[in-house]
Amino acid sequence: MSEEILKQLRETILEMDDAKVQDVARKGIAQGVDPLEMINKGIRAALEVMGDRFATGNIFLPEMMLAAKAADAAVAILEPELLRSGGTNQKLGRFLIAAVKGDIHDIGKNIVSLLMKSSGFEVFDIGVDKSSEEILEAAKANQAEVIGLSALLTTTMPRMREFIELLQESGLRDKYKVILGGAPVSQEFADAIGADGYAADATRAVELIRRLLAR
Amino acid sequence: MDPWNLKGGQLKILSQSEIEKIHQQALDVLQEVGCFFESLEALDVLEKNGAMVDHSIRVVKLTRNMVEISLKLCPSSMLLAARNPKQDIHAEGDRVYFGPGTLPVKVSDLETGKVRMGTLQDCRDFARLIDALEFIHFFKFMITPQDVNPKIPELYAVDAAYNNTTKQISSTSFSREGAMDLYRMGVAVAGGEEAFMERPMIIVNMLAVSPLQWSKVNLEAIMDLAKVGCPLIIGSEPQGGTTGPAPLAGQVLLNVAETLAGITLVQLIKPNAPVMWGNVGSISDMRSGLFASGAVELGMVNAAMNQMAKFYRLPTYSTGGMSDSKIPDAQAGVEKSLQALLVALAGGNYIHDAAGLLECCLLASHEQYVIDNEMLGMICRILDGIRVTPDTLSFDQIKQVGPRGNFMGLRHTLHHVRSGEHYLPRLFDRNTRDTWISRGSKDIREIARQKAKEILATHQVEPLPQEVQDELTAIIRRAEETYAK
Repeated sequence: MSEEILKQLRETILEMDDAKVQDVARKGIAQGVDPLEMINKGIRAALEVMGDRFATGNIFLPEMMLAAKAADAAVAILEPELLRSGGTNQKLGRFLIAAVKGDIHDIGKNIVSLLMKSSGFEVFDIGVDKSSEEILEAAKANQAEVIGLSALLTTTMPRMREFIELLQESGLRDKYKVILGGAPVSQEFADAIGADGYAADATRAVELIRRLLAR
Repeated sequence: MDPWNLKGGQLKILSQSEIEKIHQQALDVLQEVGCFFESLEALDVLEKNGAMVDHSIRVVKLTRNMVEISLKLCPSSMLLAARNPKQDIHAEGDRVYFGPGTLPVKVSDLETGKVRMGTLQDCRDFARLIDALEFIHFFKFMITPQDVNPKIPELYAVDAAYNNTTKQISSTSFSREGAMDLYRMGVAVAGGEEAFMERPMIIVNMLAVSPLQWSKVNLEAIMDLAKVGCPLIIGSEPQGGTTGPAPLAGQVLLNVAETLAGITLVQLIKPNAPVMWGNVGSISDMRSGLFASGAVELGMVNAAMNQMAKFYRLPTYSTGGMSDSKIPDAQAGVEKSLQALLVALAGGNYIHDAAGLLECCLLASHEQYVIDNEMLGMICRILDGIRVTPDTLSFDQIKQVGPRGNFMGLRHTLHHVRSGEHYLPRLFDRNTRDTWISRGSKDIREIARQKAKEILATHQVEPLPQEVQDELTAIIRRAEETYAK
């Protein structure tokens, strides 16, 4: 019976249907299916399929977004149940992301946030136009493991170097993995400023973070 | 053909009733949805002039009346002066001018062919390169140099431009102070504030961030520049599917609304301030979310936006001639030609990104500039059109030659060929295969590379007077010692 629920969860997420996926989640709870199993083997498994399809160019960005939204809707129902039963929705890691000072472009950052969240990470998206100090403060407060910096403007890229320098000066360079993204950024630039990684797009960002954290 | 006196406007991608529909809906967007203005100063100005302001979220709803009055205050023509007055830009009506690609960070090295970060020396070289290219009419911030103070790259790039081309100069800025310094540089080259009013030597562009947001820095720069009467480009660049609606009509609508919001503010700050209508919109490739700079939809949206500008009787700034290809190849040729031609035929007055860019506006290439100059030459020929007169109809010559003769030996033929009736490619090869082989079987990239090297080795630009050079240097030094420290 649990297999049937998991299958339906996967199917409704692949269909990107918020309402149906929530119905299935409720049905699962009523039938006593383990909420954690529903999250891991139902929802996340389906999102992985969508992620693969997106990475290989077989679905469009809106399909990825809608599937993630459906997944969020189901998790919102399952998580309280999980807590009630004494379990926790164990996240894969803690990821903080921001667009650097001077940059208010947030599309790329939002896509990465969404994919990271739906891949099972705890995501702290602190928004746009954030100074190095603000980013570091937020990283400390949220005990981030990986920090993602985003820039669209060529003129805000130097803020990324500045952030890494701030980490070094504060003696915290080894405490965080710092990764970069954004149209003008490149692997070469990431290497030059001593970042831990660079990803050209959101799906590669998720792979990179998994690799950095070995999860 | 006079490349400085060409007109587009032949292409009407929207009908008159569609234009009016878009206009009315744009007013609805501004009145019902509103626009985010990050600057408190701007909110204040808008509120005092009758806009509904929600201070908690900084969203302004503009009345139809405010927008329509502001539109009527905008001058319909704009002189943009060049150091060489023969290269002045008269942005008005259907006149067409082309400019280079802006803001790439990388350069494809002319010697090694390797991709590397752009430098201040590149700013100088690229300015000198376009100075020599006959179908590129103006300069616009061509390289973001990575070896200067990152707070003020625009000042370095514009200083390099004034020193290395006599063509007209434009740039964006990244700070309120930087924007005013660009104006001061223009004043220095013009020879004082009064001289600048007669012959404005710079235009500064400021764009909204889609959807419907104007950032603090850009608003402050706009307000300062409007006050001193510096020509401005006001526009936005929604990307269909991500930061704008997927349908092109919706994207044009959003672009119009965002631009109108900016222009309204400018006219409230200073009535009759010179402002150019800016179009930069394209689509995102929805398989990745990435900006599709070479999309044919970019040309279509820009063509439509040019029609909107003409409906408002405003000079236009537009975009066309980009490519997502990484090298100067067939993809680059097709993407660039279609875009540039669409926008030129729509009568874009000041078409930037028309040359030199590759890799989604991240890479500048010398050989691509030389190739694109050829493309623009052909487009100029198209704009020059088919003149129909008794002389060009050639009835007398047809009669003279008659059946079975030929036109090769006629003075009439010579006259028209000499006066440019046929565009003669500067680079493209029309030889027979044998001749092509005997000349080394060269591909266009190699020919263009040689041409670019030749230009950089030989082309001289009349230097700025020493005292102007010193003034520009002093402006940068002051910036370095104060806000850019």
